Amino acid sequence: MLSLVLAMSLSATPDTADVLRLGEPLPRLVLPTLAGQPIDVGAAQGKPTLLIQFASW
Amino acid sequence: MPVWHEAAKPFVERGELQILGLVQEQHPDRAELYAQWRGFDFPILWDPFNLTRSKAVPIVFGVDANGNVVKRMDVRRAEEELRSLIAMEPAESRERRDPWPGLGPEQGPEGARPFERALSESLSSGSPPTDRAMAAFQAAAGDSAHSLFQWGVALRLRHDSPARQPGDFQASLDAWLGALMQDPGQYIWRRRIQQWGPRLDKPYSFYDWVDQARADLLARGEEPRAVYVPLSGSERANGTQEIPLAEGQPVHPDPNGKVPVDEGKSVEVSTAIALHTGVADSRVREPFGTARVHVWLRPVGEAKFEPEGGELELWIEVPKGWNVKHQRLTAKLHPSGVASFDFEVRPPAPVLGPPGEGPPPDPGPPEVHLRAFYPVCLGESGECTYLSQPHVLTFPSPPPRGGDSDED
Repeated sequence: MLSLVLAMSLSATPDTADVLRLGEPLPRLVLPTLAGQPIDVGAAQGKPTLLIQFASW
Repeated sequence: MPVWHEAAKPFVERGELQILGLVQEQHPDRAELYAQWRGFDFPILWDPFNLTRSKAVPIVFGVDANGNVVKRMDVRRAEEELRSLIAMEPAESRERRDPWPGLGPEQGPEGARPFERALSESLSSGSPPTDRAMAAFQAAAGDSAHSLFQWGVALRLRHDSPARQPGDFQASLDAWLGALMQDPGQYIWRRRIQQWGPRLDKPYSFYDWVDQARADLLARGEEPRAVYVPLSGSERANGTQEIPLAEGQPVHPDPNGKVPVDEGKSVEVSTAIALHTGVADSRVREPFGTARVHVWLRPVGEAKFEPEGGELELWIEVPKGWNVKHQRLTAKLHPSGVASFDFEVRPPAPVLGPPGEGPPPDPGPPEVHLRAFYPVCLGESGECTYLSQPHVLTFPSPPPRGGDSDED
C-alpha cells in the first residue's frame, strides 16, 4: 500500500486546488523575486504578512 | 495594489507588518518597472507558470505571524482589515504542504524529476529554458490543463530569447487556448492570451501605463527599469466593442506587381494568431476567427533592413465579408533589427439557416493573404534592394472544449 501511495505521489501531477488556501499554512514554494533571488513563500513568518497576488496590468 | 501599499505603509514603518508581492505575469521586467514606478519597496515573487494555481488577480491574503493564511482581505475596508490582522492571535504552527515536490531547494535541481527540474531551471536561471527543460515541459503537457498552460509559458519564454524557434509563439498561444478550453474559469490563463489578443476581447489595456511610468520616473530623476521584450500594439491597446471596419481607400503598395519577390528569403516572415478567447465559452457569440494577428520580419544571416531605401509595409487581403481596419500597414522597426506589425481581423457572423435545415457547408479553414514589402541590404558591402514576400495565414482550429465550467 505504501509503495502504491508513493508511486502515485511521484507520478501524479499536483492537485488542481489553489496552492494558497485560507486556514492553512503557507506552502513550501520557492519562487524567484523579480530580481532573480529565490525566496520561499512560506518564509514570510515572524510578523503578520500581507500577501498580495497581482499583475502590473 | 497601490491602495494596499498606501494603507499598509504606516504599519510596515512601525514594524507591525510585512508585505510580500507575487506577480502572475509572463514578463518580470515589466512588473519590475511597475513596482519601481509605484514605489513598491517589498519583495515581489514572479510566478509565470502559475504555480500557485490562482485563477485570478488581485487576491490579497492576510497571513499570521506563524505563517498561516488567516484572512482574505477586503480592499474596501483596507485599514480596518490590516488592524484586525495585526491584532489577531496567531494560530499554532503546522506542517507546511509541498505542492510541487522536487521543486524546492532541498532536493536540488539535479535530484528532482524532469518536470520540476525544468521549472526550477526556468525560474532560477534568468535564461531561456534549455532543450532538456523544453523536452520535459512538452512531455508533461498532456498530463493536465495546467501542464499544458505551463508548456505555453515555456514556449513564450523561448520565443523572447535568442534561442527562439519558428512557431514558438503560435505554439504557446495554442497551448494556452487548449488549457483554457478545459478550464474557462481560469482567468490567469485567459489573460495570458488576451494580452496579445483582439481588442474585442480585452477587458482593459494591459500595458498602456508603460510610457507614463517611464515619463514619471525620468521626471523624478530615476532611470526606468528596462523592458526587454518590445510591447506589441495589442499589449498597449484598449478594449472596445467596435468591429474593426475598413477605413479609407487603401492603395496597394505595388499595384502593378513590379516589386521583385524575395526568392532567396533574405527575410523570415513569421506570424502568430491570438484568437478571441470567446471560443472557450459556450455562451459567447463571437464568430470563430476574430483575432489579433502578429507578424514579424526578421532579416536572415547578413541581411539587414535599410529604412532609407523605402517603407517596411504589409498588405493584407482577408476573405470576402471579413473585416480589417487597415489593409496597408507600416512596420515598427525595433532596435534589434526586427520589424513587426499587428492587426485585427473579424469574420462575418455565422449565417443561420431556416429551422429544420442543417448548418451551411463548412467553407474550410479561413486564409488571410499577406504580402510584406521591405528595403533590405545583404551584408555590409552587399546589394541593397526593395523586395516583397507573400505569406498565407491559415487559422488554427480551436481545440476541443472541456467541461461546462465557464461560470466565472
